[in-house]
Amino acid sequence: MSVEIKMPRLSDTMDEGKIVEWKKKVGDPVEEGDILCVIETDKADVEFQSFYAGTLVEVRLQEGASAPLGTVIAILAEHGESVARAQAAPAPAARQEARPGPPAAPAPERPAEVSPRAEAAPPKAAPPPRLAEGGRIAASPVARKIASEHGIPIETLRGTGPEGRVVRADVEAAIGSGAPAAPVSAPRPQAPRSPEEAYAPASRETLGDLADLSPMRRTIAARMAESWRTAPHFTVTMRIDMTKAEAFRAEANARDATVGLSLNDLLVAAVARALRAVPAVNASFEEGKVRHIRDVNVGFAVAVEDGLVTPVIRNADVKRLSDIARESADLVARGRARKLRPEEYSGGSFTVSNLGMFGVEEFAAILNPPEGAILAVGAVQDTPTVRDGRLQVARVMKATLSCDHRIIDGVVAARFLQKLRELLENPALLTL
Amino acid sequence: MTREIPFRQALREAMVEEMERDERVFLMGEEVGAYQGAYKVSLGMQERFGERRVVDTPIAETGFAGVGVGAAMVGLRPIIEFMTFNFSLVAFDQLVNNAAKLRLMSGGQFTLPIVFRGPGGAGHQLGAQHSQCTESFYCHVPGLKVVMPSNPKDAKGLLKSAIRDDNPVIFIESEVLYGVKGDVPEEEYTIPLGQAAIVRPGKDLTIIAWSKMQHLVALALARLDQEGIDAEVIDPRTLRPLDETAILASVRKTNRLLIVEEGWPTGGIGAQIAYLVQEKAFDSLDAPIARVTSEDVPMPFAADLEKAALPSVEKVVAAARRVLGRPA
Repeated sequence: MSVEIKMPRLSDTMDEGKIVEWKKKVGDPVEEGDILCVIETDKADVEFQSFYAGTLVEVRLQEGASAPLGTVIAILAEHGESVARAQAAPAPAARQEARPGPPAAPAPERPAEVSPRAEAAPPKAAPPPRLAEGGRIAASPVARKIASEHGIPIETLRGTGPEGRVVRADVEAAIGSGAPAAPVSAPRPQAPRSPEEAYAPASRETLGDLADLSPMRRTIAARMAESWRTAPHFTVTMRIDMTKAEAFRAEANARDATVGLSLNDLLVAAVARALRAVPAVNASFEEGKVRHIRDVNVGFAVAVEDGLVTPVIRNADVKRLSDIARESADLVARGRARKLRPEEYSGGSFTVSNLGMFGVEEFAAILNPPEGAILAVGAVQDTPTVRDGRLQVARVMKATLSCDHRIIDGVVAARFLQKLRELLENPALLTL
Repeated sequence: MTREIPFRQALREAMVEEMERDERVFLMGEEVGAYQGAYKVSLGMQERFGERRVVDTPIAETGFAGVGVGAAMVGLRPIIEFMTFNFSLVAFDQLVNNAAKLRLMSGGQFTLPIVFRGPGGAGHQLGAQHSQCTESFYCHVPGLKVVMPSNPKDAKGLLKSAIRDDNPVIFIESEVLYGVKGDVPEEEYTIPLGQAAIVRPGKDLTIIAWSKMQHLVALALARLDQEGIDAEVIDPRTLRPLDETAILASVRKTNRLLIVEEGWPTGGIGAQIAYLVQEKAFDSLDAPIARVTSEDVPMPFAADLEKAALPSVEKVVAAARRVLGRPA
């Protein structure tokens, strides 16, 4: 029996994966549990283990290529089966030529001098095909089959079927044009899609090349657009005097060199306790109802190349500061190396985002769906302030809470910030 | 050598030839003898073969179907005519519980070489109880074969095979087609059951239709040609067992399928064909499978409503366009 190895669902928001590296090559034996390849998902690079034992007889998706979930990426001949028989599927000569280079960037290969006017009418790069329900690309069974046989990732094709479905003719046109990852090279004699394109199809082309989005970027784009579109955001800002918090942190690190307490750790601890005190902010709007989340799981944004990940510290309201410090350091390091496990970046009830290290004074973050609120903090800056009737310089940080107005009102948001300020301005409370 | 004869004559020739070939074959039903056949299919047969072999019955379908079953069990080869297949519902128990099952239930001690034939489907304003397509009911039953010819040549060849078959065969004709003429060979021939006909080869989509609907599709083809749609048309001829091989080969070639049937949509043979094709040729499909059926209503009496309830050339052309992904 030969087994088709298909692109697996390695993260709950993943709808396609990219092969980073094959750990086995054609002809290699594979035992159950062996790592077949490393797959880049929208969140991290994950080692994909084999569920079957046998011999790898065919690799369908090359390193650097992406495909949606369920696409056949390799064929395994189970032990006992003749390897020759498993490889017997016809391999048309066209397949060799048609193996794409990294399909994620078809555009840069196009010569910049191609006169836009000569091919002015058709859009140059195919917009991605329609996502059907469940996030699957809409493509007919025979189109998928032919595309997979020729190593063409179906998401690079534009569909001319009903509602943008990719059909056989689209795949065959892509094969016929000889560059399946870049159907752009086959001029499509079609009318322009919009008045903008009709009047100035050329001008945008000269601005720069269109490039595909990486899986992570695609996910961020989809989630942020959905969040902005569905949740009515409002923001509330408060200044917090961080003088004592900074002193507290300095003293803790001085007295214990191993703890590595950061400002972020204090923020996470304070936010967690504030959420416990004002639990209405630790909630989410889901399908017309509000979910009051029992645990306080605080996620914090970590910038990575081309995007960000949000590792989560579970039960942050009952963890000690030193635990939070240790955990966050580990999560940040692995997040930057794209080695987080799915359970480490899901299940958050609230998110903290910090741009203070860039000198940003204040900003408003977009909710991380389905969370009800997100805190954005800026830099701690020397700021003139009035205390006891006298002008002084204080170390002030601005914190902006963005909330989903469907479940959180202004007063609730304000109470949360009041509590947060109280905790950060009296950091000894964080040790209780 | 062929000659052009009407459908009813082709059927008559089949029965006459088989009755001459094998003295165990006989015909029984309402008005088949003295009246010369309700639709003149058995014209002249009682004069030729006598009252023992062309038997008039009272209006008692359960009765004469049951007599036929019994006759078949003791070694005769009956042809039981239903004036229309609507009335076969009265004899449903005989067909489904006896004819279909007794060979198997008796471990082969009895064979049931019996043919139940007659017209089915809508006529002109015959009303809800006299316009039914019953083939889906019978195709559901293991132990029965179901045959539906669309033209005189197929009708004669298939009826001869049905009479020679040792199994119970449901043979559904159409009163609207009895007068249709077609070329029929002069020399003897049979057409095997379970074999479809490729009426017209094509490459853009496969259209499957049987009985009356073949004629509707033929009319629709002129419109489809105008629109540049090259349809492959298949007449299954036998509905149980279906010629899966022919159907699957066609869909693998064209990647698109439209089924046109006169029956109701729910659980009909078109639904069964669609299931088979998606199960066995899933990767060949370029579009969802489409059907044109009668509307899901008992047949109205009023002429305009009957017309609206039945499949039409417009509905077939619209469905073909839909299957090809063209705007409506």
